[in-house]
Amino acid sequence: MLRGSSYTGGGGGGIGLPAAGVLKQSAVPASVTGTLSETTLATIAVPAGAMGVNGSLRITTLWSLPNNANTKSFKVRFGGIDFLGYSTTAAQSLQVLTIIRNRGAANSQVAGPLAVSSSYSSSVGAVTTSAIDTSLSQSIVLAAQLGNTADAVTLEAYAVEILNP
Amino acid sequence: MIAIPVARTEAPDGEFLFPSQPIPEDAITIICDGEHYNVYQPGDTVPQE
Repeated sequence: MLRGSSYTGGGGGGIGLPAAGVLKQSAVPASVTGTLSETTLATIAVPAGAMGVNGSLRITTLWSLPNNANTKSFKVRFGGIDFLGYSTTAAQSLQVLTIIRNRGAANSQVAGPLAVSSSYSSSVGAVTTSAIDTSLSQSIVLAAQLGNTADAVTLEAYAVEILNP
Repeated sequence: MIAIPVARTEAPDGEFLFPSQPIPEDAITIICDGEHYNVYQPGDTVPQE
């Protein structure tokens, strides 16, 4: 069961809270311009133990970008590990689903390939694995990086859901 | 509009910017210009793209 605005637990499953829920959701636009440094556009705290040992984080991000030849890069980072590291040039928008799954342990994860724009297609990239201790509080960072300071990239919206069996 | 200075840290793949203070929950638009996170709140005039 997914719960929306009434959900205040911030986690689920393994610590006796609802089985799944929206941890954080926003459609407030957050943009970066004028710098070539990687820039955080949102940070979401994932409480300790919110992901059960077989739980998942489902992170949906929607981005806008200028349709030109300059490189624009997009990142979804959890616990200091990149789970999305995608760059593109000529496009106007990008929506990405990033799913990070615990593998029967709080400190073992698997997710899709790092550098893809579609979460539901074949890829030459291998799956991403990590050893983040989800029994501890961790952060999700949504970030972008420009290849030209005159450009602007916008994180238009995101949703972070916790799915526990 | 409030301007929150950026904080900087060095990551393995380069400099990394983040807000030096939390973004207010009532933000309606956020624009980082490399020096500040300019946070627009209800009642502020948001710049047009």
